[in-house]
Parts: sequence; structure tokens; C-alpha cells
Amino acid sequence: MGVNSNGAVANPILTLENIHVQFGGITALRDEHLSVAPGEIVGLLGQNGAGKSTFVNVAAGAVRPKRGTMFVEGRRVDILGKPREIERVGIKVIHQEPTLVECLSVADNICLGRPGEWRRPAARKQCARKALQLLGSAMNVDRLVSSLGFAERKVVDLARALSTDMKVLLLDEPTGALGQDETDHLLNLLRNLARQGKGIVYVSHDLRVVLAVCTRLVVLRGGRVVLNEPAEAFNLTKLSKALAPTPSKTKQPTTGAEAEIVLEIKRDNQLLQFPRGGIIGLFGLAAGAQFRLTERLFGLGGSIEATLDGKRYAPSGPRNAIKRGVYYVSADRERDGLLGRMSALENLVLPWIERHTWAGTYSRPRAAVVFDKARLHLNITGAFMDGPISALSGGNRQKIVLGRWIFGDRPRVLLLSHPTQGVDVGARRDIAKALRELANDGVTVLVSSSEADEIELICDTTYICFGDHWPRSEAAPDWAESLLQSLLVQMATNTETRV
Amino acid sequence: MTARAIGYFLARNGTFVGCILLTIFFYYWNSNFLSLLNLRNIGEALSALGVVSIPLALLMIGGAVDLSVGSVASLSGVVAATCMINAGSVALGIIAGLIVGLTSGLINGLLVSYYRFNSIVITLGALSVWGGLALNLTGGRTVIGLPESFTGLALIKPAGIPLDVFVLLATILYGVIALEILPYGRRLRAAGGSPRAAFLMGVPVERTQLLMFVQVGLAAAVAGIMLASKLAAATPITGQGMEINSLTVVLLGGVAFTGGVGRISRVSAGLLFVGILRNGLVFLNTSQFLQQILIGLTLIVAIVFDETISKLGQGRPLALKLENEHEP
Repeated sequence: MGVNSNGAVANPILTLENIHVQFGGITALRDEHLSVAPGEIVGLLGQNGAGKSTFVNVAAGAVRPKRGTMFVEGRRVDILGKPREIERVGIKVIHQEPTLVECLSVADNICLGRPGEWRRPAARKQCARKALQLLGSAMNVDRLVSSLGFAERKVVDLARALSTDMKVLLLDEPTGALGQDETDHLLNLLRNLARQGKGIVYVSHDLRVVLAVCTRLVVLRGGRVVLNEPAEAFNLTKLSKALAPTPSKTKQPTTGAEAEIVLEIKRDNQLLQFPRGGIIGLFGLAAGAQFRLTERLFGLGGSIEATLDGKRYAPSGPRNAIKRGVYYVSADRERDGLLGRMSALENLVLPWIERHTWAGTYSRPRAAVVFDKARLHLNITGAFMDGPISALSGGNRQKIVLGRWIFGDRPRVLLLSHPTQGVDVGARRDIAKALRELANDGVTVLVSSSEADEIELICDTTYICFGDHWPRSEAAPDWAESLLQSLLVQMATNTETRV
Repeated sequence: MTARAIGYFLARNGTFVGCILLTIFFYYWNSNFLSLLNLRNIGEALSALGVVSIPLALLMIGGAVDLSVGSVASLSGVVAATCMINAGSVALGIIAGLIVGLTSGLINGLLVSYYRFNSIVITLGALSVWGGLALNLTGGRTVIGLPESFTGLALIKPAGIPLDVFVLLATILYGVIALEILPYGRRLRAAGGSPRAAFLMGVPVERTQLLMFVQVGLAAAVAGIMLASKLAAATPITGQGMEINSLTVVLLGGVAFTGGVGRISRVSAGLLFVGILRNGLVFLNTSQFLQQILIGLTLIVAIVFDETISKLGQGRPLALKLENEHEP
């Protein structure tokens, strides 16, 4: 199949031309091209934010580009059209998150929007079983979707989409939750569809799967296509290099004898050690094992084998963890961290409200001391401490949540998930600085993240959280790039991740 | 003083203003309305309702509701009366009545807080169960012949104020201390308004809510016993309608069904409003049925008014118009 310099193939079934997408001031795609020929499976690769999902969303009609044109089988499609119209011309998109109706059965979900089968229950079940068969699943089609786990939902979602007719299929990270057996079935199915002359675009981080199924690879970086070549020319190493081009060495785990070890976590065959005064990253995939580990350290969702200051540490819940001096700032601070109906001050001091008292009664002036400290260090602006928290801007609300766990009381160990997500550059620096001061004060800080930039900004050292043995990496120039590279290597050499 | 500032003031203090306006109106109609005797009547008539309403407000601020209070009051009264007559001890009877309240609170609290069933459903069921139990226990008859030392309790008037009113004032004071003065109140509001966030901050959400249910149960028992003492009899339907009335008071007091917001002072004003309205309409010589219509209407008007004012504060369209009026 010939590929010219423009990335165009002969007789494409789908062509996207000069697609330019901007979100606010950020350019997500710069006048880029993507075309797919019948029978091709194009692997779309790149780091987080490289523009992969943007391409898929443009084709789905979910994102409106500033300019650009789209052709299906040589006919122009209105790129600003409604998603439904785009689906009608034969483009099918399977998003990362399954979109199913919770209160309906598996059979009903698969046959929704198919008037032929919808009328008779027996026909619905028959049709659903056939669709699931495509993925090698023998799931009971009478089960309610609300009773299914994520992996099963994914299978139902895929079965629904794959059993309908389409010309072009775009899949965004389809195998993330699937088991080996289902993945194999899916890949075979995709190869079959390609053989029938469909065009397929496959977005994934899983390099092995990409190499196993794709016929052509397109790599994006910063909204530009930097590579567009047939897949045969690549193996794992070459592909990882292409994705993160400036590799630097990952340091071997150092035995930290200098600092006192505050927290130790025992994994299957590895002892993770966290010294006093260190800022240690836990870097991995989005929704990866590092977040589960952090939650367990706070007594949420499962047990953990750990010691804190040499004593066994097995928190039964947040209350228990907080008593031992282990605090947690979750990634979803709006939902998990804010008391929406209370004042900014109350939000800041609530976990220790018993201490801000005078003769047993709540003392606002005492609590206000903490507020002033947080305001000073985190640069909280325009905050009226007795006003409702909802009156503050988003960035300031985030700072209140962070400030609670940093200044409300001195933590022994502070756990943070994506601490700088959703705040502007200035606030990022304020937060990094506050965490550094806290660490200098002897607190152990654990930062779990799937953003290499965030790890580079905040941490001294980090574990790469994928696979059986998590390697460690020390801060270095261009650290973010090398972290990504290391993660890709881990993914290429390991199968699964456990906490 | 802009229109917006007046709006804000009314939104925060509407219930108080309502009380004052109502008082002026009734006083204008009949100057006896503000006589010491009548004020005492108002206080006495409100006491049982208030004793239930204040703890119910705390429970609702904690994010749950208890619809079984009326039935619990009835059953407690009946059980207390029966025990008193059969055992010949007033104290034993009161303790038996309180145990009924405690049990009801514990059951509701465990099912709602720890097992996460919907509080409306559970306590609606409990409303039927306890009410039916009270009827079964007495065969539908009123228990009479209570010891005089018990019926005399309602007649004690230190400094000319009935004991009932003292109990009511003590309940209000307790509510203010628990919710607004002790740090506990902030935890309660956190648990009610944002249970997940509160849990992640180490607030024992389940235990906090359970405690509120127990308090409401006990308060309902106290109200039932107070009514039995005042009426010198315990009927199995004494508490009927108490759930609706106390809920009305709490909602008039600005407490939201969604939990987390509310002030005891405003709930007390809501209570006073209902008391003044009921008493004043008797002065006007109107029918009892009109009373019910007016209280219901007041609740609806109050909620609509509240919503409008808070929208005026947040969503801009109306507020902008008010601002522009002052531009040249």
C-alpha cells in the first residue's frame, strides 16, 4: 500500500484533511491528515494529549475542528454535522467508556436501535447471543447491565457496535479492561473486518496489541503526525523509541540508607520504601495501579501489607488512616474534597475541628489562624473565609482542599493523586513549592499520577507502576520523557499490574 | 439599601419577619393576643411539637428524615401509661416510654445509616408499625386512670411558666448548643451535606446520623409522655399528624431535604409562626379547617419565596436588572 508524503493512501475509504483543532488557546491538532484504505488497520499512537483522541472525536462528530474536511469513499461529509448524521454514512466509533443503558438487559442494550429485532424478546436474545459470540463471550443476555463489571460492560459495548454494519471503525483503547481471551477474539474480529474491506483506526497505549494487529502506524506528538509507516518495519524497541525520542537512562533502585524509612509497602515480590522528607512519585497509566495503591493506603478498597514507623499499618478506613497521620488528597477534589454547603474556613479545618475550640466550643478565630497560613503559602486570592466555598473560583477551591491536608495538621505521610490537575501554571508552582516545604519539614509525600510532567515538577524519585516489579527512577534532565519511555518498556515486557 | 439587599435580608430572616407581621396583625385585631395568658397558651400548645421539631431539624441537617415520630409518640404515651397503672410507679412508666423511643431510633438509625436504606421508606414503614402496635396494645381504647402525681406534672408552673414550656426551651437551647456552638455541629452539617467528602475527612458519618435518629426517637417519646400528662390520658392516636406538623415546622425553618443547611434559630421561628397562626385564627373565630389550609399555603409560599431569592442571588438575570437601575 503506497503512502505518500501527505500521509494519503490510494483509494482511501476515510480521509481527514487539514484538520485543525483548538481548545481554548491550545492547539490539539495542527492541520493534520489521516486516511485509511479498505482493509487497513491503522494504529494511532502518542502520549497523553498528543491528539489521538481528538482525531477520533473529530471523525465521530463529537469535536468541531476549526477547519478541515472529511471524505468517506470519496464523498464529502459535513464535518460540522451531527454525530448521528456521521454515523449514517458508515463511521462507527467505540469510545473508551462504554455507553450503555444501566437499567436494561444485555440483550436489550445490544438490540437498541434495531427495529427488526426489537419487537420480539426471542429475536432480541438471539441477536444478542450472536453478537456476543463474535467476541467469544457466552454471557447470559438476560442480565441487567447495572449488574455487570467494567470488563463485561466493555464486551457488551463492543458486541453492540461490532455486530452492526459499518464502513469505517474507530476504536479508542478497546482492550484496556479485557481479558486475554476476549482480546484475542477482538483482534481476530478486527482482522476479519479488515479482510471484508472495512477501514479500521485503532488507538491504544498497549504497544504489543498494536504491533499484533495493525498494518500501519501513525504516531502523533504535540498535535502533529511525526511518523506514518507500515507496521512491518517495527518491533517493540523501535516503536517505544519512536514514541519517546529522547531516551535517558533509568537509574537502578538505590538503597536509601541515608534517610529513615517511614513507610514500607510489601508487594508480591518487592518492598517499596518511602523515606522521611522524600517526595516520591508513583507513575503509571491513567486509572493505573498506583491510584489503587494510594487509596488502599488511606483505608479504601482493599487491604495492604505495610508498616508505618516500623509498626504494622492496615487502616480500616479514612478515619483510622487520619489518626495515624496518613492524609489523602484525591484526584477528584470537587466531589471527594469539598463540603459544598459550608464556608471556606469550615472546609479547611473540618477534620480537626475539635482542636479549634475554646472551652469546648468552636472558636472561629482559632480556625482562622490556619486559614491565614494556607492563604499565605498557597496564594489563595479573593477568599472570604466565612463565605460559602462555592463562591470561590475552581483553582482556589482546589487550594483549599490541598491546604486542609497540608496546613490543617502536620501529616506523617501525605498521599496525593494528580495534585496539580486542573489548576493553572502559577497555582501548579505554588502547590509544588508548598509540598517541597512540607517535605523539608520531614513529611513523606507520595504523588500518584499518570502525567509525567507532574512527576517531573514535584518529585525527587518515582516508581514506574506497571508489572510485577516496579523499577525506580531518579530525577534527571528531561525526566518526563524518560519516564514515559520507561513506562512503555514496562508495558512491553509485563502483562498485568497488581497492587 | 438596595432591593437586592432587602431580598437577601428577607431570605435569611423571612420566618422572623413573618412572625412579627402576623403578631402585629392579630394584635391589631384583638389586643388580648399579646396578653401573658395567651402567650403562655401559645407556648404550651407548641411544646410537644417543638420538642420533636428541633431534633428532627438536626436529623434533617444530618441528611435523613424520620416520618415515624407521631406513631412513636403515641406508642410511648400508651406504653408509659399502661406501665404506670400496672406497676404503680410513675418513674418506671416514664422509663418504659423512653425505651420505646430509644428502640425506634436505634432501628431507624441502623437501617438508614449503616445499611443505607432510604430514610423516607424505612420511617414510613415504621410509622405504620408503631402506630398499629399502639392500637393493638390498647385495642383502640384510651388509657385512663393515670396516677395524679403524673398528671400533676403538667400543672407545675415555676415562675408562672408551665413545665412543658421549660422542656421546650431546654430543647431549643440544646439544639443551638449542639449545632452552632459545639464543633460537633459542623461535623453533622458536613456529614449531611456531603457524606462522601465528610467520610474521606474522617467524620464518622454513620455514627453521627445514628445518634440523630436516637435523639429524634427519644424526643418523640418525651413528646408522647408530655401529651399523656397534659391530657391525663393516653390515646393510641395522640401523635397522629405530628410527623406532618413537625416536618412543616422544620421546612419553614429553612432546613433543606438534601441536608447540610439550617439554623436552629430559624427553625424556632418556624415553630413560633405555626403557633401564632393557629392561636390567632382561634381569636378570629375561624374554622379549624381554614387553619390547616393556611399553614399549608404558608409552607408553599415560603419555599417558593426562598428559591426565588436564592436564584436572585446566584443566577444573574434579575440581579443585573436591579444593579442597572442605579446607573445614570
